[in-house]
Amino acid sequence: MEIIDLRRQPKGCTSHPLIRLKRFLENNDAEVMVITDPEIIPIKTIEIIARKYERMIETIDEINNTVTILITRRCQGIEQGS
Amino acid sequence: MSRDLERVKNLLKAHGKPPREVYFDLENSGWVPDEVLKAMLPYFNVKGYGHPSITNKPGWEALEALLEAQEYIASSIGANSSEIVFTHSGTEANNLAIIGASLANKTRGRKIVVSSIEHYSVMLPANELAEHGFRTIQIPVDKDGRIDTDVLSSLIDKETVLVSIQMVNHEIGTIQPLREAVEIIRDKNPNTVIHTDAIDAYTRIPINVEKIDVDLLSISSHKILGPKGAAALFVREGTKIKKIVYGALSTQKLWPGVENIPAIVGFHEAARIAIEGMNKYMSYVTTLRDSLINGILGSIDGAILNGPRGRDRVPDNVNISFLYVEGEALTVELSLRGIYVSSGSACTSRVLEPSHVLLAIGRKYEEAHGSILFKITRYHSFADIDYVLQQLPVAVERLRRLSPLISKKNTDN
Repeated sequence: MEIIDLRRQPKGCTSHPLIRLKRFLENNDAEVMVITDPEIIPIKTIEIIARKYERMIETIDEINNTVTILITRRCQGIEQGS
Repeated sequence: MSRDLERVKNLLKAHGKPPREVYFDLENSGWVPDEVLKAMLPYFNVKGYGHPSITNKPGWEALEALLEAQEYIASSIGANSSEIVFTHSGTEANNLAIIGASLANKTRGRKIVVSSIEHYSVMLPANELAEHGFRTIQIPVDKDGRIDTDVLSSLIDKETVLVSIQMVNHEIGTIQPLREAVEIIRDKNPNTVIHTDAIDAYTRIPINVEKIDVDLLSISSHKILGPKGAAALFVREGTKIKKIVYGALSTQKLWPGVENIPAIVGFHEAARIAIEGMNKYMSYVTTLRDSLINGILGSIDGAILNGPRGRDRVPDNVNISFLYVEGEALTVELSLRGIYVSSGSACTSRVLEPSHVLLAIGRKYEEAHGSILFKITRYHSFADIDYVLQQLPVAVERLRRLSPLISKKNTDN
């Protein structure tokens, strides 16, 4: 399974982890694990991005400032705003 | 002679002079029209050639020219003249905004938010601030390059010290929903400093800093048919910002170094001409733009427009990807035919990486590498567009015949 660590601070301009996440969701139907520090990139941000690609999120683990989230496969019939 | 110098002399000799020349690479730089040059020339050796901080006649003449330019440029964006800081380039203005504002306000927070398609002169200083404990987050954009305002809203909190969202994208011409973004930011954290890179917007779309309510705004002379060597940063009164370059003797408190008075005069004149004729020029340029876009897409297979269509696109920008063609090769092929363009932006073409802007809007690597950027001005004509539409298909076809990518595609099929 793909794992994307949103806590990483890349040097370049093409490899920001949020943009990697977006590209993954655009090009793959598979699940993806995301690790974030909610004080930097909130869980809400990940949920918004996931829903735009018809995915749901599920919090797997939460220790100190590190949250691990599973973004599910593409779901059918997610209603806008629900 | 150095190897680089020898190489470029040989290139120019081999290139020769094409029968016709049309320059479209205004994104990276351009010529200076005669009327702008005429305004600048006296300031090299007739008057105002002194230092504007020195108390003698040539110095006062230089100061007069600088203050007149400051006043005009301020009024053109709805600012006060004391809120305009001259720098020598847009890169310097952006660096001052990002680094100066972040460091000055670091007690308010360490989070910086930028769009994922900002110019390198915004992205790279923001990334470098990691050494000072800052974190930079990039907002994703959609396929047309528009920022996701829902994601923006979710990222703004009490830790957000600076947000930078460009008004118009330099590569694909997307006009950002800046007012909507600023309202969201002000609502969530009124202390966040807001910067916009308006370098590709100035004189193409109306700008009023009161209406858009930003704290910092960058503009540049050589992007508006002015000379290189002058740019400006609007710094709203009351905005805390730290100097990042140190030196003596300058009229510009935030940016030392001798002011380039001839370039500032040229900046003033270029701005005046462009602003006074903005409506009619941009209406004409939009027609040329759409003729070029429609002509290319209608005559070349495997050509993809990058960025939005219509009113969401700045009037002068045309950016197209050509499948199975390498962009740098196409710029050379077109140069030999007298059509001067660039592949993506200068900064991306030198490092041979695909454009981060095109990757951010969802283009694949091979599509991003095969892109060409045209910037159209009021000096271009329909005859220039026709010439491009005559030469471009031939150039693309020639390169595709040589391309290993198209051989692979045929083999795969």
